[in-house]
Amino acid sequence: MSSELSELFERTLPPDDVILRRMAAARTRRVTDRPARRWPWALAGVGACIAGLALVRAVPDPILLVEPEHFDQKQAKPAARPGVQPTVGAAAEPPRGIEPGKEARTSKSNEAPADIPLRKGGLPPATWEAAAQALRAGDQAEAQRLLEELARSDDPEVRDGARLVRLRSLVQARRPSPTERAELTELSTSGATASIRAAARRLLEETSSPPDP
Amino acid sequence: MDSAPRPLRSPMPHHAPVLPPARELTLLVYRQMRALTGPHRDLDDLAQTALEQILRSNYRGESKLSTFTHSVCYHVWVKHLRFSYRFRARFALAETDEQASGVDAKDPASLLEDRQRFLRLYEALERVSVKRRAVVALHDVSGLDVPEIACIVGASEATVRTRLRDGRKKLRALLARDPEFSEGASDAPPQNPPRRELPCPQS
Repeated sequence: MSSELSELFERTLPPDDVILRRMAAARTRRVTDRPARRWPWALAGVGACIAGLALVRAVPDPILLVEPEHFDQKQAKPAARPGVQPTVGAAAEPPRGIEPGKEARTSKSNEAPADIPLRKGGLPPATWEAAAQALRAGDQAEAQRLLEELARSDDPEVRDGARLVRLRSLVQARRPSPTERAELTELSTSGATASIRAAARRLLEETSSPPDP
Repeated sequence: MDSAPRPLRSPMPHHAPVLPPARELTLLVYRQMRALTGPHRDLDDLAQTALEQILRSNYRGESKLSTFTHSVCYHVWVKHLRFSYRFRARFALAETDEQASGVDAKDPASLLEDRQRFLRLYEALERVSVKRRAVVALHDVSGLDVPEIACIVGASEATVRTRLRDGRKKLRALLARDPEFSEGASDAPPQNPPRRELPCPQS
C-alpha cells in the first residue's frame, strides 16, 4: 500500500510553476495591508497594557484573591518586632484590606463559572470557550472584549478568526458600518486561511443583499 | 605538580548550515505540507505559514534539513487542526465552497481518475485520528523511516510503530469499502486470516 500511495501522491502533484504561483499568491495575501493593519493593534496593545497596570494597582491586594481556607495565617502575620511579644491566643489578624467580619472577594456570589478560571485581575482569560459562553449568554460587551483580545493574537489564524466572529456578532443585529464593511472586505481577500476568506465573503454577500420584503 | 599545558583543541570547522534557494525550499515545504494535509483548501496558506517560520527560524543544522522542515510543517498543521476544531465546535460559520487545493495531475489522461483517488484517499485519512494519520502520511506518502518520523512528531520509535500499525489498519478498513481502492485493498493481507484447521486425529 505504501508504494501505491506514494506514487499516487507524485502523480497528482501539481507542476512546479503552479506550486510557485500558488505560494506567491499566498505570500501576497499575507503581505497585503499587514503593516497598515498592525499599528492600530499595536496602539491598542499598549493601551491595554496601561489599562491592565492601572487595574492591577487599583486592586487592593492580590492576597484577596486567595481562597480563605487556603490562606496561610502564619504568612499574614506581620514579622515580630524584637522585644514585642505576640499576643498568645489572639485571633490572627485579617489580611490587609479585609475588614473584620467581612468575607474575601471569593464569596459564592462573586464566583465565576467553575469552568472558566479566573485570572489574577479577576477577568476571565480570552479563550474561544469564554467568548462562546459570553455570546450564548447574550453578554455582548464581554464577548466583544474577549474577541478583541483574541484578535490581538500573534497567530494570524486566531486573529482573523476572532475578527470574523466579532464582525459577525456585530452585523447580526444591524447593518454593518462602512468601517466594518471595509474590515470584512479585507478579511475576504487577505484572511489567514481559505476557510476564513470564504466565510468572510459569504458574510459580506449576506449583509450586502437587500433585506427581504 | 606541574601543570602541563593542555593541548588546544583544534577548532572545529564551522559550517553554517545554509538553506537552499527560495525556489527549492518553497517546493520542498509545499510537498511536505501537501503530504500531511492532502488536498486541503488551506494548503497554500499552511505551506506559506510553515515557510515563513522556517525562514525566520535559526536552523543550526542539527538535523537533516528535510527533517527540520517536516517538523515545522507537522507543527503548523497540528496547530491549524487544533484551531479548526476549537473554532468550529463553537462558531458554526458557513462551510466554504472553495475547491480543494493542490490536486493536479501532470498527465491529463489520468487526471480524473488520479484526482478522484487522491481525494478519496485523504477523505479516508481524515477519519483516522490526527496522530495516526500524520504517521501514516509521513511513512506511506512521504516515504520517511520510523526514526525520522519519531524525530518529527516528538514521540518514541515504539509509539510511532504502534501509530503506524493502528493507522494503517484503520485506513485499510476504510479503503476496502471504497470502490476506488477495493482492488488495491484486496492485495493487502487480510486482517483476520482464516484459522488453519487441525487435522483430525487418526484413530
